[in-house]
Amino acid sequence: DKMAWLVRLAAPLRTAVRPILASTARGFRTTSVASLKLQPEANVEGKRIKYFQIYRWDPEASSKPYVATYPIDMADCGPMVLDALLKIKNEQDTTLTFRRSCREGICGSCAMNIDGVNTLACLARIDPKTPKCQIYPLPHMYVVKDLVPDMTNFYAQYKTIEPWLQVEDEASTKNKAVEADGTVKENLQNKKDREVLDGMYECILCACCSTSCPSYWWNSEAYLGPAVLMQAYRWIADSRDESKAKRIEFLDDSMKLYRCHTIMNCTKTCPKGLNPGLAIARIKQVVFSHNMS
Amino acid sequence: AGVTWETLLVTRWMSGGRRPLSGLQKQVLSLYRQCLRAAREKPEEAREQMRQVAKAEFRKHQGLARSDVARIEYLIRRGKKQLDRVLDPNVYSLSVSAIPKGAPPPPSSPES
Repeated sequence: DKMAWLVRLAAPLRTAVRPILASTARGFRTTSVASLKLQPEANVEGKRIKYFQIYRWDPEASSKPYVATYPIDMADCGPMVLDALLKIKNEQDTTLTFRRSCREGICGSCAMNIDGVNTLACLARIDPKTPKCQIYPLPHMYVVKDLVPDMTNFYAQYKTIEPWLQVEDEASTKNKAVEADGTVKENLQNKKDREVLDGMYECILCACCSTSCPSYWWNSEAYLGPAVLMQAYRWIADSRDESKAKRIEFLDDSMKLYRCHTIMNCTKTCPKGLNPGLAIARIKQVVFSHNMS
Repeated sequence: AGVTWETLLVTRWMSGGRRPLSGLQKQVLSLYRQCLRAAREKPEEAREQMRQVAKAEFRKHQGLARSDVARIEYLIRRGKKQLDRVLDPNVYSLSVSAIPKGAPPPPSSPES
């Protein structure tokens, strides 16, 4: 098949007048009838079974974690990994423990490592082409039970960056919309300044990025991690915030920010498509220009 | 005084008088001491109950092997979190209820 394509390529270009769609129809990705079949193909008693290998650990019961395998009939299960987990918990093993809430990728509860990638279980589609799926908790996090990580350190680090609007003088009416009687109604911000926050405010603090960063694995106590750093920059870049210098000086030490070595696992793994790596680069720029001035 | 002789006894018993305590054992003892000290800060009526709860919790797991580091660390983390909750100045008493083992009760049908 491929050979035929290569031969065609070497042939004289009589195909110049062919419409584009036809020429790509015989490209490397042949849409043959075979790949349109439902997968995995019926392998057990006529059913399409996929095997979910899930990390299990009950600290109350035993000291050693293990991997439990659960078969799921693909015809009888929703498309997302969370659907499979709930099906296993409902029908096969009620003791399977995991966090979940919104089932639509906005709460960040179901963050876990699925087939080696940190994502949200409710957004990760079950791959129909492979026979098994490996589900592990977020890497290098203390495990409370089964797939539930201990997020205490992560939240404590988030608290240290003071993720709220800080103004010098709350009573000041500069850049504020004021009511008729003088009370301040809202902080004004123009469109251009608001656009700076796009791509950062959408962070749901699922910890997929921080937990995918090798630098964060080796320095969880001191390095803040991409999630927290992106939020730190979200507040530095906010035009309404007045404590920019203080925030920058807080980050300017050898561990909190500068353990980032632009590995960029964070951006690759973000289930919301955000770019923490870029935000960190911007922080470094801002810190530099602050130190220069 | 209640804190001192208790922990001294545990120290002697755990180390067998010969081997020095491992770092993990020191952490466990330190946590135990903190729990007992936390009981001192609370109102008079609650103190004995808190001490009993702490002792029971620690005694429950005293059979763990020295090598079972994962489980010991997990219990220490859990203990620290529980202690932080108790240390809140608004907490004035502590009690424990037993969860009955076995099948959960059937869900009651909704009235109204």
